[in-house]
Amino acid sequence: MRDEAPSRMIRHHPSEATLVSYGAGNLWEAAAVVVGAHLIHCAQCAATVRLAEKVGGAILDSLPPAALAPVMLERAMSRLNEVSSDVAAKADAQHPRRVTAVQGEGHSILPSLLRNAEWRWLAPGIRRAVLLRQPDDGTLHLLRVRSGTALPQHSHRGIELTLVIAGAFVDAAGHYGPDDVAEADEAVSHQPTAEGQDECVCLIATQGRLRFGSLASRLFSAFARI
Amino acid sequence: MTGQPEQEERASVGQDLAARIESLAQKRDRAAFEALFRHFAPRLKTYFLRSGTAGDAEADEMVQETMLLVWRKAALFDRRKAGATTWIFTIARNIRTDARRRSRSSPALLADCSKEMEWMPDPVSGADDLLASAQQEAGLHEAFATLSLAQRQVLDLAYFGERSHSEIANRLGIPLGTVKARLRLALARLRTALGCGGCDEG
Repeated sequence: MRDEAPSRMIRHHPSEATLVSYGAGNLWEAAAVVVGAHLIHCAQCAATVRLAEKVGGAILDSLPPAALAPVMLERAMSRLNEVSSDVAAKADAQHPRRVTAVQGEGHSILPSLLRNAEWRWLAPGIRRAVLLRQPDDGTLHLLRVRSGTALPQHSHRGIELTLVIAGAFVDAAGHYGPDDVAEADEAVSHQPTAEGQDECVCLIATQGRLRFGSLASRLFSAFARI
Repeated sequence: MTGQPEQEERASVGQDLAARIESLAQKRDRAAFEALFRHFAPRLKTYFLRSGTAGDAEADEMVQETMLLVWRKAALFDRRKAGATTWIFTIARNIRTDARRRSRSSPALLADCSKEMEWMPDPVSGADDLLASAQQEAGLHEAFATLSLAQRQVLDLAYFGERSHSEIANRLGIPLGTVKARLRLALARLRTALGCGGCDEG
């Protein structure tokens, strides 16, 4: 039942509020990808998501029934024959996630993310690839930062979720290593710095634009506008 | 404890629904499907309608998709891991996510990632496997009543409303930190009610 890959202690997690929205299926997509990648290696957060799913079940059960045309049942019944049952899916589905977790040393989604990434130079020692940019779903970036390089001091509109894929970084809130998630909201202004021997690779979900330096103070006037 | 008989009744309804899903898997039982459809389809329709994007016809189609997936995937149902309503909720939730994604052109790579997550197994089997899921689900209903109105409101928005906590904060005119704190407290209360206070804390 356990992930047999050697796992380091995960010290930083998404907030419970974020995990609830993930379990509810209602989290903006860039954030959902970051949380999903974290869950592969974090049993504690996976348990919280399962609790949120149970809450979802209870909410579903308590919803007032909507009017449904009687023909809907007939239609569904008549479609049962065209849908093959997934008997094969059973054997298939009992292990696949475990297989993914054990197979990959790191994140199982990393290879496909890297394959599709178009790296752009952002600043000395910093390269970035944008994987998704949608108004309602936020922006998903991959960032590679040379060890010792500091990102400019910045704050955020909305929430920023950062998952360490490789390497490590440090900011005022602590040290972050592989599988750790840093969740920063509007109140946080920070200056992450890559540390350790190797470059730091992070998967980052942001809402709105980052706010740098002296602009930080304007954030609060802007945040009513999200 | 007040509401005990009601809770037991809910638990027995839950066990009954679970048995019907198992019957789909074992016997391709069409009568069981009909019973499940009658119970869940009208609630699923409300779920999709409240979720925002779907109009009446789309909601009907999403209900169909959900119930056909219940039929197809019944063999994957494991009542020790999730009760019937939780399992069907996760199917409906994924269908809603797919529909959202279809409504814009999303890079295929992200679709792949989420498929990956779709049937994630229980990584910490143990404590809560031992408690019957149907029993737990029944207990949750009672626990909802103990949430404050403010907590319940934020919880509803997390499931049906805005897709970011900042937007929820805007809608309610309260700080982002308050939204997150209310969700955390609501979850803590529900977790305690399920008797898995030791499951995790974070």
